[in-house]
Amino acid sequence: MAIFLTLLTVGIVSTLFYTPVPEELVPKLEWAALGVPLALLLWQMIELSRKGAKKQQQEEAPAPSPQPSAAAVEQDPQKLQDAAVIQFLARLQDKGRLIDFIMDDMTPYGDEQVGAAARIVHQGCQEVLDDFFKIAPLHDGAEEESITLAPGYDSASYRLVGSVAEQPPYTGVVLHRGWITHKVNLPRVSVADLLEDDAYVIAPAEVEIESA
Amino acid sequence: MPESQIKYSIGIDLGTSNSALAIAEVDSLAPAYNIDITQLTSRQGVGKAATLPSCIYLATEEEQKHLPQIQWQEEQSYRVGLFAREHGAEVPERLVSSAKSWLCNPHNDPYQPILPWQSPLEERKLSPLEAQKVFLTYLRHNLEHHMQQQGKELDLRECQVTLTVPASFDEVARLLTAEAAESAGWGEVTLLEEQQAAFYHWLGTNAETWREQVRAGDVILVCDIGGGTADFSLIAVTEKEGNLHLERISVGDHLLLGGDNMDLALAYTLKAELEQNGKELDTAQFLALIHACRQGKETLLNDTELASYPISIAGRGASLFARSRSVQLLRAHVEQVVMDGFLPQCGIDAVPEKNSAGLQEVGLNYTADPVISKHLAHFLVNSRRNVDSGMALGADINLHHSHGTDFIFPTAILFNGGIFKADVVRQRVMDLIKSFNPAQPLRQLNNETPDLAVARGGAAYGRTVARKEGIRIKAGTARSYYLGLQSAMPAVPGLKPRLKGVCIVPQGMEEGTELLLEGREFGLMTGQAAEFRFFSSATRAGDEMGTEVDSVEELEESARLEVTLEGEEQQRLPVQLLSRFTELGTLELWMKHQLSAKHWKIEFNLRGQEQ
Repeated sequence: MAIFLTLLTVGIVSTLFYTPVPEELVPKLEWAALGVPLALLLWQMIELSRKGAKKQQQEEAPAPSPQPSAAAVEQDPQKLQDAAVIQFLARLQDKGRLIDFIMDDMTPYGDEQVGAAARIVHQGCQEVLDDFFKIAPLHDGAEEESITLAPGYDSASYRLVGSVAEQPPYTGVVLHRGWITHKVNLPRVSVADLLEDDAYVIAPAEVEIESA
Repeated sequence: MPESQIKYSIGIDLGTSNSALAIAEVDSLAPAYNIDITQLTSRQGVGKAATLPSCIYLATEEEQKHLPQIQWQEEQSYRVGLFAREHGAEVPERLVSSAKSWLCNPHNDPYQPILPWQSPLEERKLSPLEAQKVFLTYLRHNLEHHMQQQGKELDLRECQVTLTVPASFDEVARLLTAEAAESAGWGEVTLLEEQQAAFYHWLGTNAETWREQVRAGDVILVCDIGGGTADFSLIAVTEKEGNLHLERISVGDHLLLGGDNMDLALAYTLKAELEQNGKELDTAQFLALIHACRQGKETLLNDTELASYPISIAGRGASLFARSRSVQLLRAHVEQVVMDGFLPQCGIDAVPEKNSAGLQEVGLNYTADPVISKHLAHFLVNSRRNVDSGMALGADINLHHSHGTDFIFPTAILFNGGIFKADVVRQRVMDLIKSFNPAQPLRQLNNETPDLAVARGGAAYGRTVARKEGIRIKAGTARSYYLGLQSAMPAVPGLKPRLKGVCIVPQGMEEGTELLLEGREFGLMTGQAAEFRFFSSATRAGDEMGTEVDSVEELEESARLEVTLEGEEQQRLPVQLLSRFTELGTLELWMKHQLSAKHWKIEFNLRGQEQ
């Protein structure tokens, strides 16, 4: 799942970060750009919400104190990894309402409403990404310019498509500049919110208490 | 302790809204650098940031079980930093913020648990002093942890620790800050004015060239506007035997006014528009609006081509599409509210409005007039009064007058504080000051990091102290201090005897010196507490030890002084007053009995004044 969500992140980054388009098109484009990761994430959310459903049923009962032994969980790298991704999602939801955006049914709403919502997602998620990463275009030059990759080029940084010969040098046109992060500053994970049967809280329900 | 043992110089910027930590190695001249502060960044995660929001969130018992722990924070009942600020904003009764501003509030006892202000959680409340101790303890653990991770052992005995305080803090607030640092385990710290620290940072980053960038006769205005406070200082450049000297010649009033006020003003402007067609914004939505206005303000100020910044505010529920509302933050809003509202052009004779309401709610003493320009003009006029009162200066400086108003015209400005990241804001202040004297050139000294300069400058200063080399700003006490004594005059019915002030600490009294009040003896009864009224002024540089001020009306009242001469009951002892300004930058007052050479320390009575 971690790998999948990393891919998702790259998708969101590339769509949210770079939108030099006319004002009136922004809502449509942002919406469209979010579409692909949206579908993927939706699927993932369904998986998660299925697991979360059990928890909702017992909401009326006094909540059992979920105090897993931190040491025990820390020994399970898979759980830590999961918790790290959940935390990242939680941040995107907390600041950028990403889960709200994707879990809601948007068909009844017009582009203006979708556009207004997209701004909240765009601004908040951008702040989260700025906090955690230092993202820049990988290719320094412009898109659609020509490029030559000499022997020994960093093959992880370039994805070659089209008619690719056995050996470099390769000459071609940059279709997409790619993205790179020069920093990863992910918060240390806490597993205190880990519930039984692997359900995680992404965003707690908010309850306003009125003064007595 | 021999100086050679000092390995590190630590700078602590204990800010009203954000704190920072910097370090410099004493055996090298490498620039001081910031140490990231580990903190709870959200309800799930612990991360690092360059600054620590000066906020404490008092967590409920249930929350304490779930919130991640900072491994070195022993006390688990609260959380400090980013999470505290963000979450606490929606739970104000559990949020301690701006604790620092309470230290210079003469109407409240800083030892009393009063924060969060007006919170019903009586048993959880902290005193302003405890709150400062919480931040300082937290920063110390963070530093220790950081050093450990670098494989270094931190021994505070090998550190010169400099803690910065606003230049406008009075001696009582300084003393309280030093006390908080000591109780937080930092040991004895040296106090340094924040605005001087910003200047030391500039000196450090311009070590090779600063002598070419300023010349004798220059007056540098340090214009420091933070999130919640504004502070101004003037530093004069003088020359002795061919060497340049620096002297801090004036400090401004403590103004609770800053960048946060601008964001709030913008948010109020847009709130009305947002509420026109829909429901009212609730607390969280308004907080989101303030946040968006801050982003919008910075974006529009940094990119002068942009005409507007769109803002959407989400509803509280999960449906983002149905409940979001949009509004545009226009350039015109920023121009009107920020530039014309806070930084308009004004004359040098402008006087900030005082709180006119007779009955002011007890609480923080927020500045009544939000127009920063007027406070700046007023500061330059007051500075001139201070210099004219008889200050001995090493060089002629720019004195000016315009339309009958005397003032000091600065020849250069060093900007500090987050809002000055934007060129247009710096330019606006430059234009304002220039307009006071268009004939004279005005320069800008470069500050690349207006939000981190104070901590770094503190560390750079500490290194200067530890190495005993490098330029120091001659400063001493920023204010002069007075005892209120009743004038000896025949009793006249209906006329209260006038209170006069006797100077017991002259302005500019240097660190590590003491002065005896000659020719004035106090006959105090032993075993009995004696109380004195205590006053200060930032505009009477000419007063010397013992100078009398006819009426205390022109002084500002500070905490009362109290001394008890211990000894046999009911004996009248003739004592003299001794003032000492320590090497660490704190003021001590003593009563001294000449014959027995006994000393009694005079304490500040901080129980709050009844007026």
